[in-house]
Amino acid sequence: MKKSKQKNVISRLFGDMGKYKSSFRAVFGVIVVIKLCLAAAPKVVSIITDTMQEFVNSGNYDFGKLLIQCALLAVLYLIGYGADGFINRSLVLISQNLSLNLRNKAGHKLNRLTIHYSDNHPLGDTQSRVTSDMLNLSNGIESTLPSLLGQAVLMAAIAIMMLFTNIWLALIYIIAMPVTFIGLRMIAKRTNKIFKNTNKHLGKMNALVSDTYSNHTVVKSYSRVDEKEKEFDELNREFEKLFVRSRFTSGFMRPFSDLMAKISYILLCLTGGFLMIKGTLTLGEFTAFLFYGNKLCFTHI
Amino acid sequence: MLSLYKKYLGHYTPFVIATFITTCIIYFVQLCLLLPESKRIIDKGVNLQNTDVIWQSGIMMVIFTLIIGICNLLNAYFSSKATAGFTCSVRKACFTKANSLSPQDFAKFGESTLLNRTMADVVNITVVTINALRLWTAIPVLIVTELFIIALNNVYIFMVLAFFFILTVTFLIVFMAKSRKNFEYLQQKLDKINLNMRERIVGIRHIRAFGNEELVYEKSAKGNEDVYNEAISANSKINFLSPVAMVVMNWVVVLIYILGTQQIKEGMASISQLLLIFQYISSFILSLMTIPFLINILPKGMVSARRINELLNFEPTKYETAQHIKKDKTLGKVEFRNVVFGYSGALDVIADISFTAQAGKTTAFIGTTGSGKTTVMNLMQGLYLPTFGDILIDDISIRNADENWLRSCFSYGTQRPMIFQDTVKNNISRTVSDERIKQACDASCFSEILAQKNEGLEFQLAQGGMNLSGGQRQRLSLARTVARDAPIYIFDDTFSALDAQTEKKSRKAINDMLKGKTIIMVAQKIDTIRDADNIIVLEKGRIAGQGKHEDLLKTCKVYREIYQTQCYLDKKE
Repeated sequence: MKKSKQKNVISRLFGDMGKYKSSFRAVFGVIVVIKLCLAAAPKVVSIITDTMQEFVNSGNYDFGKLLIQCALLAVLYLIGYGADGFINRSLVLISQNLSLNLRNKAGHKLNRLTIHYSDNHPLGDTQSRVTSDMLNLSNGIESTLPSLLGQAVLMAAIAIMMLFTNIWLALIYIIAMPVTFIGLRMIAKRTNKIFKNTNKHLGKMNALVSDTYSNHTVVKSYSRVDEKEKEFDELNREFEKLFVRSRFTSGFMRPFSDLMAKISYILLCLTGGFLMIKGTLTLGEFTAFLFYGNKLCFTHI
Repeated sequence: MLSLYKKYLGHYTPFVIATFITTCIIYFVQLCLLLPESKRIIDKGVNLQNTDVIWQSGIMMVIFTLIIGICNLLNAYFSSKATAGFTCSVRKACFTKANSLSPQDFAKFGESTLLNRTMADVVNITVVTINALRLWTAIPVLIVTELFIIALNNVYIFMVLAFFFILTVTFLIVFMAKSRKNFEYLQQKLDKINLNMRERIVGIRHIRAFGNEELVYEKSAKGNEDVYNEAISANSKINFLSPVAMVVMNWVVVLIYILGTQQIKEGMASISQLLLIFQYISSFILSLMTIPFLINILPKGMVSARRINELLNFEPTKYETAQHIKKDKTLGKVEFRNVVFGYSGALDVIADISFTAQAGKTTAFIGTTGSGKTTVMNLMQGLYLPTFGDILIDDISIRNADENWLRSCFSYGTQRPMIFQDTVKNNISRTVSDERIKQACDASCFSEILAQKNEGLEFQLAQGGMNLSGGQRQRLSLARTVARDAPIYIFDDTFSALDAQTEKKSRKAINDMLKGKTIIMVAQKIDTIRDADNIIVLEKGRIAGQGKHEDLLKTCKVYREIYQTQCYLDKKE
């Protein structure tokens, strides 16, 4: 039951995109390509670093060779970061067009709604559906969705490249990533519950304030200001507690992923050090892993 | 914005400082202690084939990580506390200030904008505050530390980096500033279509009744089109900013590879040093990426802060000489002396109003729509202040009266019933005895409606009392007026939604209940007020006649006209 409802929503959204339907698919293709470029970049970095190590060891500095490798890197960065602008532009066009269609649709629907619906659904609820929920949708398409997808593709590509470079070091990240996800998910679950409570509470405060203001004359005339302020104080104090709890809990997420990133970094440095002493890892490969780690775990380095 | 912080964040300064300190510790440990360990591992460990060094480095790194982890948690806690305290203080201040406004000043703002300022605008500054505390204090510290460290390591590379950094930042700032206007327009247009949507939802009955569906749809569609165009235009101004900045900074890395190799050749640097510098640069680029995010939320926050300040710094209209005089036993005599008043400074709503409503008597006001009746009621209670002239309650001028005493003199039945989202009982009164509440409900004929509800007095009313009909709401409002114990009762057209029979019954019951009190009644129908001790006829804001019913019929043309249009009610005269 639930699954078919979900699929329905997404396919309906696709329908509402109008002429930009195919662009949407194209955009995601482009995102995949540029993330592959970014995943390849550290490999080129490792080649460059090894080249530099070679120079140091042999004393022969062949700048021509270096320049070609650097040029390749520059091109990869150009595609990897530069194409972002086009992607963003396309997505904004798509999402704004979608919003436009949906808003117009909502406009039509409002003309056909029964009065019964409008009486039984609070003004705020209906209003927020066509205003703030709409904004959330367009934000989701413009920023959340591409960054999620981009991250996913990038991670997959990097995981593969890491495996081909050095299994031990790759293992560190392959274990760390899922652990981070699971941890974040657990935190997010708790956080969501608290956020829901906080928002519900905010809704209660909104109702009180709205009520007090719209009946201002009576509140003033019947000297009910103090009583309203007492009610407000209670709600406000409760809100303060809820707010601290919600922001503190959500504030766990960054430190946690930071911690995981740093643990990975420490393991990388230690293992990398041992492997380099042993001779099974070159400095270039180690550098590549530093860059891979950086791209995977945003918060650190 | 800063003034808000100064005033309301004051109490929470320790938390703010703690947040800043923990942030500084985090970045110091990370940049100066943790990252250089990697260089140490390569230099002392790998190059010298010394595994002990690697273990030592490992232990140090674990310690540093623990310190950073703890500081991160503390940071989250302190910033949450500070922001929570700040937000709640500001919101409370807004609520208190809005409530303290006289209806006259309140009307200058309007209910919906006050609601926005108290709720939505406070949310906006909350977002800015918590991000400011957590990230902004970090960014300058971070950037300066980074550049400093890079400089320590290698001055030449530092200069190259600094040059491109300044270039990029300038570029970012210039284009963000250029696009600011567009985003403001976009926000305005969004506000417009949101308001439009709200109107359509609230006025759904009216739109249907008048068949205006096409019309409102056209208006909506145009608004939506505007938003679309503005959003695309605004985005086109900034969507290349991030890509260009990222490409430039990453090309700088490539450049540094080449320059670095040259330096290594000349013996002025080592590979491990370069690697460390790259790690610093990566960290640096990451911090650079947070700047656009922060710059985005700032304008919204500043606009909200300005609106909140407007409210909080508003100077209420008041009299210069407020002496707070009050009386113990109020008889309830109301006197107007040459009162002139107009909303928003206009001088022609009411003019030259002079009358005396004797204590314990019933004084009625009658007049056509817009003749100024409700305005007189508002002025009488001191909810609005007359531009000229004076109003006296028991010979005390309202300019000198104590506000609390003045409020307690009146029980005001409003023209439009104002219902709280609360139980019936709380709507009627929170202070009066249950007996009196029952008496009031009987007198206003509300008991019959209560009898139909299972919960009786505990029946919960919806927003605006929409789960009662118009007539029922009016009876509830009437019950509230009657339940209160005051020397003067004002009934501003409170019987209009009752049928003639109920009205007669109700008026009699109320007269019995309120014997000896001063009653001020406003009505459209002569039948309601014909037995009043004194009737005042208003026309276009001026008194057209005063006296008893019979006298007015003879002397006052306006009264006669009103009577004639209503005379089917009475066949006697």
